[in-house]
Amino acid sequence: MFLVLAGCVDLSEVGKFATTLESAKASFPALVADIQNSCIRRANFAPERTREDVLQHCGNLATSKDGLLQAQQVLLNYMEALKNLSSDSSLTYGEKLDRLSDTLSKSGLDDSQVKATTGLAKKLVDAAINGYRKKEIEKLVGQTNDDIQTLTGALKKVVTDGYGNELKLEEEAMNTFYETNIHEYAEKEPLTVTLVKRNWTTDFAALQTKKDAAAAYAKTMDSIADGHKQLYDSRNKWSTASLVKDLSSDISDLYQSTEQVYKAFK
Amino acid sequence: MSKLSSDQAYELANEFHDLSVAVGNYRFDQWDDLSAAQRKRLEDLQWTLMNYSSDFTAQALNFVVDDLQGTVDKITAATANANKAIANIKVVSKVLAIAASATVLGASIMSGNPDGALKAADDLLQAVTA
Repeated sequence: MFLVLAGCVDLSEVGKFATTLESAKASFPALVADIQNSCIRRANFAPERTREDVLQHCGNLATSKDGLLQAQQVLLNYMEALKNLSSDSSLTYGEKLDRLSDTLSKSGLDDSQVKATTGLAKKLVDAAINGYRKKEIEKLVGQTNDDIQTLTGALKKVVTDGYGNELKLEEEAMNTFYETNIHEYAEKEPLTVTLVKRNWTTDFAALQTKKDAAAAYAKTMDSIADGHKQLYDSRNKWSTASLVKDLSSDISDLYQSTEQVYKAFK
Repeated sequence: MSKLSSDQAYELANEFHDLSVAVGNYRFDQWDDLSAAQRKRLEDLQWTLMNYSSDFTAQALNFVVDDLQGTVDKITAATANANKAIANIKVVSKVLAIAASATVLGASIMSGNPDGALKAADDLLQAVTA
């Protein structure tokens, strides 16, 4: 997708880009909550004598939770606005123009004249609205790019370095717990050791899933940062030659509609 | 002593993690040569290092939240402006509908259809006053 963004930018591409955060919307709150949950899981691997102390330290991770969720929500809201600005879902003129056909039919114009006239009107409106949306997106992207780069970079570090470190600690605690059991029971209870190894494998697989999710989230932040920069870098072209190029299909449709009008009324 | 940056706190969290791993590895490597009391002491030390590591992560995250406040405020303001622009599109579309009605009037006149032109003029008036 971002290869496409590197070239000519049109609004549907902006919309597709803005939709990339949809999956993050559902997953990030759980991921932020898991920073502290990872610590609590780690406490379960602690010797009984230190468990309470570990849990107290886990409480320190709760302080930033609301702030991180708020920062993420701001990014989601921004992407939602970008998506809405680039889509035509908020427009209501279509129905109004459709009603024109009936009115025109009653006015004595023949079918081809009605079709040509309403077709031209729609194309004119589409082209004008497209131009307005492009201008607004251009302004938005121009104003926010530095902040979007900062925010996505920080959220990526929260997940790779912050959450990543908690997951590494969880893994270390898990390894210590199971290795200690194996060392202590290897000779006395070989069957117990087999069961311990099985649990270790299961726990490790669950942890790996979380590590993979963190890596995927970091990649999403990279993609958003890169994609937004592409939009930013190409923003000024939208109002000049590229805008005409982007609108070329609209312009082509407009030309055909004009021809249709000419033929209908000549 | 000056305040840590979030990057420094992340780095310290990582260093303390590595230290705890080193202590754990030593404990298992020397398992047979250590007394039960020494193993327990090393295990407790390992958990203390893990707690420090986690505390530095917590500090880093708090710094990130503080540092991001200005950025978050600016993006929030830009998003509010974008949402106003989205609302404006509806207004613009009404204006354009009026313009479109005007083109219809022009087409009706061009067609040499006086009844149609009168009707289109009436529609234009309705679009303007709607």
